[in-house]
Amino acid sequence: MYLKVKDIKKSYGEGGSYNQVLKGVSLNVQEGQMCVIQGTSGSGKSTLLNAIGGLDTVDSGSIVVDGKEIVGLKNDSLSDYRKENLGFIFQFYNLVPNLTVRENIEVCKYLSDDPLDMDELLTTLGLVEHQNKFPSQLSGGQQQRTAIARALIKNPKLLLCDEPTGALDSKTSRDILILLEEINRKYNTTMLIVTHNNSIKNMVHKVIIIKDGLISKDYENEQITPANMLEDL
Amino acid sequence: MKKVLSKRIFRDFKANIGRYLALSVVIALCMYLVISIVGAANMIIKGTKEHQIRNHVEDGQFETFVELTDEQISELESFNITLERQFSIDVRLNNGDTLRIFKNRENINLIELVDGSLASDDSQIVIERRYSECNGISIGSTITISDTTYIVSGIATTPDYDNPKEEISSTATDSDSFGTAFVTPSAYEELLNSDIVTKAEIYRYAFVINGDFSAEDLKDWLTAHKIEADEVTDEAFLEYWERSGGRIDDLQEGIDELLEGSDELMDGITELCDNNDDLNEAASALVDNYFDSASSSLSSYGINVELTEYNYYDTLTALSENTPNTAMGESLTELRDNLESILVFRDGITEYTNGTSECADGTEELRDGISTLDEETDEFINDKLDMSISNLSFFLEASDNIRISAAANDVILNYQVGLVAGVIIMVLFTYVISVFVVHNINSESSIIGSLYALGATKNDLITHYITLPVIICFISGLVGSLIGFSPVGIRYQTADSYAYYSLPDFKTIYEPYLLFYGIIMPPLVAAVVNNLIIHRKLSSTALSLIRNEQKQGKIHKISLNGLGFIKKFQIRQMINELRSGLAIVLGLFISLLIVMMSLDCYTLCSNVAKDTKNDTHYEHLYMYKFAQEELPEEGYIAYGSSLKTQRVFGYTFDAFVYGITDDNPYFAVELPAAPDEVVISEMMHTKLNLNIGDTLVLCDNEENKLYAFNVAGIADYSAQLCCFMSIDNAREIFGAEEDEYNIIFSDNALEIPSNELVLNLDKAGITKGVEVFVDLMSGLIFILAFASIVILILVMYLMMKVMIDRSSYSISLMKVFGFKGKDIKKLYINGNFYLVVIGTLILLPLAKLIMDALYPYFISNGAININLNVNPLYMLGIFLMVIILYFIISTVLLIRISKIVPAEALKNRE
Repeated sequence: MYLKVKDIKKSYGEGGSYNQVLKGVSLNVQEGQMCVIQGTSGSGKSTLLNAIGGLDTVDSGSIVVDGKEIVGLKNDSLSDYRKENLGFIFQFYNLVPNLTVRENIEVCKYLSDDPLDMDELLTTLGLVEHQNKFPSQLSGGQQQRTAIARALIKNPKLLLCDEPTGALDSKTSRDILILLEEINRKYNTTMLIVTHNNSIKNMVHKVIIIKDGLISKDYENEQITPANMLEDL
Repeated sequence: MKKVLSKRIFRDFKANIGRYLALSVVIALCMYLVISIVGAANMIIKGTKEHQIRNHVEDGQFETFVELTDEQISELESFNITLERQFSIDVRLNNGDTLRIFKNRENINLIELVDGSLASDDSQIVIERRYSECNGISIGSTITISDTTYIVSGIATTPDYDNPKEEISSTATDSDSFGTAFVTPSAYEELLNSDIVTKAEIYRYAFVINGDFSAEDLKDWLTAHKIEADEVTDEAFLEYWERSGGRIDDLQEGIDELLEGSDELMDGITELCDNNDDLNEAASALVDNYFDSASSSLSSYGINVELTEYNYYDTLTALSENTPNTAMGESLTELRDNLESILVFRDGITEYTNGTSECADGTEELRDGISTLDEETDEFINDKLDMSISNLSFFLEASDNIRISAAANDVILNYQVGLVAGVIIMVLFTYVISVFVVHNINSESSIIGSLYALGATKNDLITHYITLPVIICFISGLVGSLIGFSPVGIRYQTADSYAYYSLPDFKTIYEPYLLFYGIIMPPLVAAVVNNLIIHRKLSSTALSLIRNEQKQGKIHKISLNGLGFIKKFQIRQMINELRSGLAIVLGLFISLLIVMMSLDCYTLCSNVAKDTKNDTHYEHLYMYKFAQEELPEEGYIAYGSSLKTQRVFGYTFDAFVYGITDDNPYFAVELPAAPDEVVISEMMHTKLNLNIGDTLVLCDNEENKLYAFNVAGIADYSAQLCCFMSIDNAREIFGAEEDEYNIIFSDNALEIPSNELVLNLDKAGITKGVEVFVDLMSGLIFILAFASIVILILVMYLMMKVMIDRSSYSISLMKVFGFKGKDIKKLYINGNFYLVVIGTLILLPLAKLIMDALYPYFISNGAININLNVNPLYMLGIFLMVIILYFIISTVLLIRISKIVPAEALKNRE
């Protein structure tokens, strides 16, 4: 098992404003699996993703990634964990505005001892002609492809995607999902995708649905629909 | 909406308390700095002026050889001139100190008590403030002069001894051993008659001009009033008079004696001539008798011949040769020779009497000639040579008196520096505020856009966003101003003046322009800058504001391909933070300007001390009041004169012209041969900006003469504003005799009565006099250095923190990717290292150049050598200090970086 989450709880605030967002979430994801986490707003899906990404602490429970417990790690160790294992893709791309496409990707390349080939990745993602452009000169899809390239350059074992198509139109969303599918296939990257989009759950290996801080459904798709076949994106 | 918005103000303050506190400290410090420096200088300048008005400072003073008569004083008073006798005597105390005693004053240069009361009876004395402070004298202390003990009844200052120098010409002020004192008129008279007086009473008059009769008119009037030399009691003058004006008397006496002698001679010769006829007749009778007697003798021998002076020789020769009797022949020959001798005698007498007659004629002519000479000499002296002397021995207008307004003149530098620093600081903090505002507005862009979209007016938003910076700036300015006007501000800055000059306690002056500068200007600048920026920001559409669309200039899109990632990122970051980077550079520049202002001040003062010490090779310099002839026991003579320079930056200075001998070992000068050429000192070269080939114009105000010299060389001599020529040329130019001199340079002290000297300098005194500049300026030097460091730290810290704050989103993103604090510092902060290093390398010499160019203006009132050559180690030290401060600040900012959490990036939503 590549990712093992066991009974994690997370709350915010005290007294009257106390809010337990995660009430004991457990899940497992195998290496190379694409997993979708779905839920309504405030269900705790992003909190769960942040906890797995080492961006937020949990009150209790255990998160083991590639055999390593990350709960309780100090900041520097968490940085090392993120640096060595993770790639992030955000809804709003979160590119550094004053860096070009290539430079944005180089940010993460710098962190890796064994990065992927930059030019090959730019070609794969269709960014060769845009590599010297700044984010403000790109469309949303191009920006998200840049964000994906940035996440992939260090060849992460686990890719965390927070609403990767949330800000994109239907066609671009499909392109991005096809891309993620290809990456998963090509690099055997484990992916956790937080999304509202109901169609995406059909293209992944595993689906986890969170409701009120608890996992309400956790199942693996018996039949996977390729991204290019998805409807209602 | 306004009410709701106003709630955010306090929250914003609380959230950014560190930033606002740092900004407040910068503003408060700047206001404190400017107000304390300018306010202190202003207090001294204005306080001195008021002190002078309150105590009727003199318009000038003069000294006379003999006291003015009551009639003369009345006549002067009729010209609307107020005169007051301010005679003084110097007494030596048991401890060796000198007290200059004056009578209590009534009209001019009044005594202003700092403590106590004026001397009201003969046992009381008032002591000048600095002397009392240096010697621990207070009210009730006793001072013994001669056998009389005086009780100190008051501590005071007078406007004519602002700088309590013993002599006007002294370079040093030594309040440890010299001070002034005031007693009742009767106590003064008693002291005058005692034997403790070390210097004869000086007949000094202070004057105030009330009408059209100018100082120049007064001087002319005094010069025109003559006295006879024998009225003068000044021994030095009398000795000089004997050698100069007094020689006319010798001439007259000599001619009189000559005339008298010629009379006697003529009388004698006339008397001699009176017997000439008798003598001639007696000689003729003697000759006749001789011849008669000879003829008779011949007859007795039977030779009848009458001998005459015409036939005696031949007759007697023939008789002698024809006689057979040998004895007879010899007797005849002897007779012939005797007759010949008597004739020679008679002719001699005739020649003698003729000669005496001629002599008598000549003597009469001689006597007539001498008589004419005597009459003509008397007529010439009476008509052409005015041998009476002017009673005026010394005249000095207040504007040329270095004892008056000395403290005020000294702080003009502080005033100028303060004002310039004020302008520089205003530029800095206007820019710093603008950076804050831009950062604030950009970070609040979406909020502003939302509020704008919701219907908030521009005015609502402007009011909201300018409120906090305006309040912060107002409070900071107020605090800075209050500290500036407090004892640790203005009072602290005036401490150096009080430690050197004799001043009364001046009141702090709350100048309106300083109050405006300190209290109104900071919030005003904040309001204006905010207003402009928000106005500009609000010119964008609401949607653009909500999206926080940033316009990027061409420089942002510069291609950096080929560079390593770190370098590329650092350059991008620096371009992105151009405004903050510029603020750092500007802050750095201003800090360096201020530190250079401080360093130049220190360098100038210490170089003056060092150069003066190094360049003064003689141990003693004596300048006589009157030219001397007799060579001194030792030392090197010179002939010189003190003249005035032309105006330089509005000021004139005393400049010495030294005519020195070729062998003078104290000045390494190659003396020019031409009489119109001089070698100028280094100080003259820098102060008057004169170079070889230029013309030096000097003025003799007393004689109303202008001298123009060609500059033939520049001597490596920085101790004085002076020039050199050969002693012979100096004698010729200043009308001295061939062997006269009026200056002696020597290695050892010479015993010359002080009343013969106009100047008596020794190396120790000169050195002490210039070393005091560093002490005097130490307060300013320290505060400028301190302020520059604080400004640099705060500006660098604030701007680098702004950079981090502005980049907090991308920093959190970097953390998400796995970057650690040190890596992030490398990416976001360390680029500034190059900015700071390159900036310092460029700006440090630039700041030095600018300050070097400004300093001649700052010290335009001071006759000091402008040597701003700084020890390179200081420059290196400043460079290292900047770098060290940078490292400290960037390390401190790691804390701020560590506080940015990765989750920050995840909050980013459109």
